Amino acid sequence: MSEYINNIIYGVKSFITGMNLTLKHFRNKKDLVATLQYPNEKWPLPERNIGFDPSEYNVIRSRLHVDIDDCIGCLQCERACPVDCIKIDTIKPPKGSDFDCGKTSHDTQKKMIVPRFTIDMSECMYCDLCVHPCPEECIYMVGGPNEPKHEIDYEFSQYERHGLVFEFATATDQDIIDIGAEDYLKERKAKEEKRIKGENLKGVVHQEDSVSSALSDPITPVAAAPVAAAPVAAAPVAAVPIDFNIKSIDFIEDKTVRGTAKKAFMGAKRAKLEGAAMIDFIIAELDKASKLDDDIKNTLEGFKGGKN
Amino acid sequence: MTSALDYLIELLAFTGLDHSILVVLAIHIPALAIFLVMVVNATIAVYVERKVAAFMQDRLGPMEVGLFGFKGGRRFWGGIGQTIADAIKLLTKEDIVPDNADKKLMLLAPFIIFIGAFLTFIAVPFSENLVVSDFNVGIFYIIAMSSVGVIGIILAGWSSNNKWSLYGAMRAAAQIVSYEIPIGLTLLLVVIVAGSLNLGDIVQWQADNRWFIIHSPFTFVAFFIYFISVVAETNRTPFDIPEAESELVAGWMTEYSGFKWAIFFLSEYANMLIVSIVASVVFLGGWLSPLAILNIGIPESWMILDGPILGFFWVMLKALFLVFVMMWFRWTFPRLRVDQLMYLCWKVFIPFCLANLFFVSIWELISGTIFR
Repeated sequence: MSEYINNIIYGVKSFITGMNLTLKHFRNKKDLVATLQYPNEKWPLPERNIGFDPSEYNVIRSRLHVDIDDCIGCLQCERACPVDCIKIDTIKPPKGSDFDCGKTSHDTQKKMIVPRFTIDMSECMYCDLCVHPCPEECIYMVGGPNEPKHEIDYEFSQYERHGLVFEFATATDQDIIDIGAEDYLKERKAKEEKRIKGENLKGVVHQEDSVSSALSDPITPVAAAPVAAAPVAAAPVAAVPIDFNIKSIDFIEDKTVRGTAKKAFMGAKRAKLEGAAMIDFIIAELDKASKLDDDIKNTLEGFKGGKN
Repeated sequence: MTSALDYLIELLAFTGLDHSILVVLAIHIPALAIFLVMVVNATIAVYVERKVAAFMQDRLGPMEVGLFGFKGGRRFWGGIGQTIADAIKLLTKEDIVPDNADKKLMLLAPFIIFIGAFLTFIAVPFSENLVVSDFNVGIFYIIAMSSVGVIGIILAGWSSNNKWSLYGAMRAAAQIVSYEIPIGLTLLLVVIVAGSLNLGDIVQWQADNRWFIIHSPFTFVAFFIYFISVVAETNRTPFDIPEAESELVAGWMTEYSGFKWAIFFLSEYANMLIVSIVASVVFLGGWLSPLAILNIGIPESWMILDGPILGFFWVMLKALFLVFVMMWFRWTFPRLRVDQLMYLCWKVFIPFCLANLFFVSIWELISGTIFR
């Protein structure tokens, strides 16, 4: 009995202790919450203590940066890059033009403008090989010894993969027109249009759509080529009204074969095929998927005759 | 005490329809209101529960999802749209039914649980005169209806044809049936003292005398026994052995997904609100303001705090505090073992309840003869 009472007293005591503990955490959330709202808040970088002066620490590989005002467009970094992640376009002013390309901070006269200077950091392997050939020292890894030029930046996560392609060129369209290179602009525009066209195509061209379009319009060469082979030629058979629906396919034992057949059935229906043409189409589809055997073929052919 | 339904029928009397048709028409309005209360309660309670959980564990909880770009507090109470996003996600999920499940029963189970919670709300007073139907056996009806859910739980566990579900359902049945007894006995104690099963009369008794929680040492103990028992009856931690996720995946809810699971969730949070409102009405003075009822030299003019609208405020304040305490329990205590659970019920609560019942009778007898 005393143990029973002691148990209850101990239970009540530990109840109060436990509730106090959690309440303390709940009330002191200002001090105790450990979560950092990462993209909005960041921990300060710890003071580096690596045994010697950080400016001598030349191995830092953080992110490539280009001081584009100093770039003379010599393409040496592009050539040095082993993974071809640097892409540079240059335009030279035509002879006799008085277009001034400006001077670098080393007092070198620039001889061309750079309308494009992209570095794809998702491809970069941080080998540092592009840094050393640069005659103007304008491409470098940020941080470390280059800390005075550009602060260290090791967080360059992006929402899209495309965001990791950094564009450094600052030449405007007006500059390019001034230099007399409208052709370059036109070319760039055409490329962009092609790219957008490709993006629009992506995910739209389904297998079944191409099948139906191929069947409804067999003259269209692009869509017809990959999908429709033999059956299209045989398709314009007069549609005989026969007793054939999607349930008729259920005689096929194998699940995967049946699935393919049903898919073909739906494709044919969408292409408004009927009767014998539909069956031909299904047979051809099965044949293409190499799932056709003689039994299935004979049974399917049998539907053409009207018997069930 | 008049009920909302009577009021609505009076209001609709101008249509000149027959009384029986009017009842059918009028019942739809409170039904819709109850459903809205359940949905809003679940939405807010889930958000608050996640926040309370996070703060007690030194985290921040949901911070990113907002409503129309408004995320709420920037420091702690952000992410106010999280539950709405979760609800949309739940309702658009695939409704999976296992091949070997008993499909009819599996469809039926969530609705039985939902109906249990829904019907209980009929007798739950939100304020003076703000109750759908005013039973003279209100408290008895609430106890009876809140046990309907266990049928749904057993059905869900059995029809899922899954061993976790079955284990969970069996545990739930054992637990809920056991904890019905202390709940019944503690409420019986109040009924003995107040002399009525009507919730309005019980609150009126508290207005005439004092709140039940401070009425006598026995009712004080009874409040804690009631509250811990209802935590067990609503299957919440530390009594969540029917759905113990580290042992049984999700107990009797394992095979449910999408809309049906959302209904389970709705009912669970509705049950939390119901038991908290009942506790606040029966033990904490219901719609009486705490300032007036303690009778500690409050000026007479302060009695205006007891009006019908403020009554709703007081009931909800007390009930929501108790809901918060339930959440607080959840993030404080580890889960009980099955034998510990039964020990607590049969060897601690029930003896204490019986002794309480005995002593409170004597207490009333003595205090009645001495003080009156």
